[in-house]
Amino acid sequence: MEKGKISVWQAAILTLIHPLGTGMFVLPAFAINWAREDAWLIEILVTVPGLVIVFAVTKLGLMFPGQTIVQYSETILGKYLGKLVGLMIVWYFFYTGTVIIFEMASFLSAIVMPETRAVVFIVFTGIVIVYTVNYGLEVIARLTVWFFPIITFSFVVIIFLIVKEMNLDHLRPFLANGLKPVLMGSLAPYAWRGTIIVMAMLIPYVNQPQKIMVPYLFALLGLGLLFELNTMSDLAVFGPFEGGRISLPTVHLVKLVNVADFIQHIESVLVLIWVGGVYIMSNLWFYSSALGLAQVLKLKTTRPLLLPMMVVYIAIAYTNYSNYPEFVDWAQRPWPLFALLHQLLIPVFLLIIALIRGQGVRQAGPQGKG
Amino acid sequence: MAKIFRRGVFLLIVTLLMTILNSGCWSRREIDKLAFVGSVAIDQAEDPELLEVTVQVILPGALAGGGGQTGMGGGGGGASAGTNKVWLVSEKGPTVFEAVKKINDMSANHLFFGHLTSVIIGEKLARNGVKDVLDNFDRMSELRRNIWILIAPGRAKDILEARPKLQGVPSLAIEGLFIHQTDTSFSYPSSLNNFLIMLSSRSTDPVAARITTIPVGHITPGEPPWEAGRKEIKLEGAAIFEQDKLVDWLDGRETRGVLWAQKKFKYGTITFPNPRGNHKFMTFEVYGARRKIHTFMEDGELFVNLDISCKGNMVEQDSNADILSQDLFIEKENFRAFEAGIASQVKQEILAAMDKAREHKTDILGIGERFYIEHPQEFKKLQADWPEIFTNANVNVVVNVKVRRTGLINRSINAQKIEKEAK
Amino acid sequence: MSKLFKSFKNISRKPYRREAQPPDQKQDKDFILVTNNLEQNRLALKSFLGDSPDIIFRDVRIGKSGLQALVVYINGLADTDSIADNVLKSLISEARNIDPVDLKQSTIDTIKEHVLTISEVRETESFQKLLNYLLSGDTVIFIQGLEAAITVSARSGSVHRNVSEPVTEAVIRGPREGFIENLRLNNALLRQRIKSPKLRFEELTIGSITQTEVCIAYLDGLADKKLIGEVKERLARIKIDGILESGYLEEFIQDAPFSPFPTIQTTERPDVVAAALLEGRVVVLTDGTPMALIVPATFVQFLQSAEDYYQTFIFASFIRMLRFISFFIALFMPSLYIAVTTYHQEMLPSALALSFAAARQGIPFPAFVEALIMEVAFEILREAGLRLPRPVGQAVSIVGALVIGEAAVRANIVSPAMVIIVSATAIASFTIPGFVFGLSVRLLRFPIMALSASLGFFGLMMGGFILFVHMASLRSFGVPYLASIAPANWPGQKDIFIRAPWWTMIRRPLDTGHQDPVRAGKGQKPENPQNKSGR
Repeated sequence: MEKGKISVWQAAILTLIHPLGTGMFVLPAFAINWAREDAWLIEILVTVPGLVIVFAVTKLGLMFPGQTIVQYSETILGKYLGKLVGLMIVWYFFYTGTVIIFEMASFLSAIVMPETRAVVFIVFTGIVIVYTVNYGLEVIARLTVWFFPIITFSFVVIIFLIVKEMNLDHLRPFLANGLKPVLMGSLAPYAWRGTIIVMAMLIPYVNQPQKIMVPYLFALLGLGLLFELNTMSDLAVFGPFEGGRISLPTVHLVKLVNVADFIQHIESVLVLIWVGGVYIMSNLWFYSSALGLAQVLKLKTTRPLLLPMMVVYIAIAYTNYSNYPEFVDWAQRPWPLFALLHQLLIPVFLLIIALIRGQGVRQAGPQGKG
Repeated sequence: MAKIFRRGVFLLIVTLLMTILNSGCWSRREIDKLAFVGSVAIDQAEDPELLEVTVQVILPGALAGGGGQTGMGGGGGGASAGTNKVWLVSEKGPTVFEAVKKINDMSANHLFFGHLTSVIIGEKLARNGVKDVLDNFDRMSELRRNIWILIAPGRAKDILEARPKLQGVPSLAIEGLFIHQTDTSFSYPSSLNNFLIMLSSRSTDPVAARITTIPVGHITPGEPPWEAGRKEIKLEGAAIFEQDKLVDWLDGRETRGVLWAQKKFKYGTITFPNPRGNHKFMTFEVYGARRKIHTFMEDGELFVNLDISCKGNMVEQDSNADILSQDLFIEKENFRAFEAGIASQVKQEILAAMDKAREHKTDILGIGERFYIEHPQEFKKLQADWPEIFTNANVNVVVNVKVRRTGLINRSINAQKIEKEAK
Repeated sequence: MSKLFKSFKNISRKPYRREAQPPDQKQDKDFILVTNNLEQNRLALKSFLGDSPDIIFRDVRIGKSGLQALVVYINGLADTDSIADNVLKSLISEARNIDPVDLKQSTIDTIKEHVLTISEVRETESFQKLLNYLLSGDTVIFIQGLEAAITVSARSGSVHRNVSEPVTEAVIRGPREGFIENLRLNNALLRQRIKSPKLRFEELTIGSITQTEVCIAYLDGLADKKLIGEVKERLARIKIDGILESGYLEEFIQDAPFSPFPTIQTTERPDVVAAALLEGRVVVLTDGTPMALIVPATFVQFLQSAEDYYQTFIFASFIRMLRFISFFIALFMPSLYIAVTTYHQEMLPSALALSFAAARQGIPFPAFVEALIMEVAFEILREAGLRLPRPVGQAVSIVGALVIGEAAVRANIVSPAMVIIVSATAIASFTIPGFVFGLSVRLLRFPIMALSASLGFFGLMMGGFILFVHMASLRSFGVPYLASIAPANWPGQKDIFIRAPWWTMIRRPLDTGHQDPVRAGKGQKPENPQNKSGR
């Protein structure tokens, strides 16, 4: 079905970079709103479930070489239950993708181009995504790997330029309100970090799967680092109260950049990162859901699925939420559970069952550096 | 069959694309059809339910060299008092947004707030609370959070009616004033971001810069008659708030005290009588401020230890008590005396600010935040009574000054006679 | 391209009828053989060729035997002096020295080996081949009683111009030779540069009427055998009546006919071709045109110029980076201007926004239309400049643009800022070395402008993404178009944005030269002789 092959590091970069575009903007408000000045702890905390995901997915990927999570769920759980779980995973990828497109469209519509209706952005992005995904994994990988230095570079430059507005007192005191707010605040960030689950769909197409562990860990930690920097900067500049009150603190962060009265008003960088990031993430997730669905239905290629899926995709993205606050509510409450189920519980569950039933190829253990 | 289907899909996508591309032009705004708003002034109208919003639009020809040979006739010659550079218009409405919409009805160009630099609020309105006014700006996506918030004693509109000589347009003039506010530090850099952070914090009460107009009035020979009645704007002092209501003003030195305490002091000058000289004055420039602050509770009383250190350079002295002696040896007592002099001035500024804060029970120095950082649990217990506790705090200020340079000379000029007398 | 989108392409294309073969006399001629009757041969020849005055029929008798022979050649194509000296003289006088008996028995061999003193001699039985040779400038000799004809190659230098510097690919430092229209001489130019036995030429004849000779060149053992095979196969598949320029071939064999990006590199310079051969690429030379085709071609090559390799690496790297920036400017600058001034005015620094606004007062058109007018005017001027005689042409296009721009500004049709933008874009697009690629960029600017005019920065970005995806999916004879950029491999970086010094370029580019990866020895960085042995 998918004949392309990508290298381990390409897969890692894909996994690392794709949630950045959206997470950067939306995450910090959730974190800061709950955890106030301890928001910077959250990304560190959230790495722990991330590690669990990494190990589970790697182990499963090596035990069932050449199979994506959708495929080996069928192997492990049998035909009906396996297909059901596979469909759940497909739906997870699909639905999350629609949400991020909605986010981006409402951002563009609200802030950048007010009179243009959000549907325009959604449809247009949808068309470009179908065009891209049609070419398969290799092209998606190439696109993402090329975009990676642009995102990280812009991000680092912005942080650098905003340093003078930072006030580190905003990060103190430490754990004054106990751990509970931190935990509450880490729900949404967890969901974003757990997006590394997408690797479960990529491992079969990697050219040296036994070497996947180190790059995968790198992706997890790298993502954590970038999100951490982001949250910390927002916290430092806006403080524990404002940071949570503003819906998109990073947007304001970028607006504050003013160097020598000339490098100012660089919101175009925002649009670049956000639109680019959403596009890249949607590519990958839409592709994963199409691939997964094709595998569940045992089709030969994903082609016949793409257009119809995209139509549904656009429809859902457009009609799902009537307004942005509804999305905020969803991201806080149902989503972390939704994500937890699919990102963490399902892979771990599959792993346990597979081990109990003694399935899969025996390995000495996933190798680190090959 | 399949071919027809494919053809249909193809046409559908093409049509869709065309519709999308054409309709995207909804938010199209031609740049010359925009009215760039530089400043907004908001006052209480006579009717207490309404706000009066004044908008100052910068006309594109206002900057030198704009337009060239094309259309824009104004701005030529340079002798004018800038009558062609701005457009001032007011409207009343129950909320800021409503008033702005009414202004739009009068404006041929679309009001564009993307380059807004300052928001001026009139005193009367400020005393009733600024939170609601700022809410509009908070939500607006076009502007950024580093716009300046200023309070004007009297009417905010008067500020926008001023015509400063340099920079012609008040909004640009305000911008310029803030940029080199650090030359004296007699005013407070209150950006929207800073103000809101202070407002939303646990215990700090916000401070905003004060802006006034100075009438120039008199006609000097050679100046055109419309110079009479011209006003300049001045940025000096600050306004202190209780929550979001204005309660009092700080003068320049008290404002400096606040800056010292908040670690925001960058640069300024201090003048005091020469301690070693004969009732003449000397001036030092002060910079490089550092602050260490400790707060703790003892026997139910709040103690605040504030350690400030800074550096100074001598810039002017009007007597002959110098740091270096005739033989270029260092005069230690003079040295120490000067440092002590500066230190006491700084201490006075801080204590003056503290007095004002006590007077109104407003924690403008941010002591509450420090206390929270150092003793979070205690603060939570005391939070409700904080204004009282704060007012009765024992504030201990220690200032440490190091004089570094004396400018380009080692000793000040002495005419022969004076030197003989000193010997 | 995928099947999904191929079907879309099919919709817009009119169904084309496959039946009409190009008029081809192949069927007839194939079966006609040379007869042993001289008169019949003569008549047959005359019927095929007609009565053109430049076809010369010369009767001779060979030596003492009195054997009749007919020498046919085309005046102008064949070297008449050589024919007179080597053919006619040999047949008439020198043959006297040969025993008539030998002549009668093994006539052909005798004549071929003993009589004719010309360098290239062939034997043919088919009229079709005969005609090909004759029309290429060879001389045909019919002999009474023999069922074969002898063709002798004595082509004159033929009409061709001198070797001169190609106009579109001039360099400051480097050879000033360019290919000319004659295939043999072009081959010679290549052989002069690569004196290796590995250099192979394989020839095909394409074009049923023009019978154009097309030559494939490669370095044996270096170029991928599959690549060579693929090239040969694609060329062999071409059925057309005439090939007049390598561009015809290009359109037949290229990978993505509907892509705006070229996937085959064209050049007039033999040194560029030689360098390509050394990297393991395959080159197609066509008789009648100086343009050579180099396959496979990747994106990076179109932004490289031969001169990069001759100048010092520091300078060359700087120029390379400049070219990349120019590429982006040429592609995106007008769109960026339109997007920012129309949708995102808050992105400009305040002073700039005000001066743009002042500049655009009174202009009747929206920014997009303004840009379109200026760009189209510029393109027209550029084309006009090409058609005018050389010295006038360049001046007209540049001066014309400036003057018209100035006049348009005064007439308040366009704003001064737009003139600047358009000029900057045009100048940037001039720096792109690959002319065809420059054309692509010029073309692509317009859809991106349209996108950014309707959807602002978002539209611009989407346009950029679509372009990138398209390029990422493109392959040129199996090599990904964005070979060393995405995915980026470390050794490839030496030759893309910078040009690393020759002593570091130890390996050939991986995509084409993987048969024989090493090209230079290691450790050749120049060192100060004192440093070497510590003395």
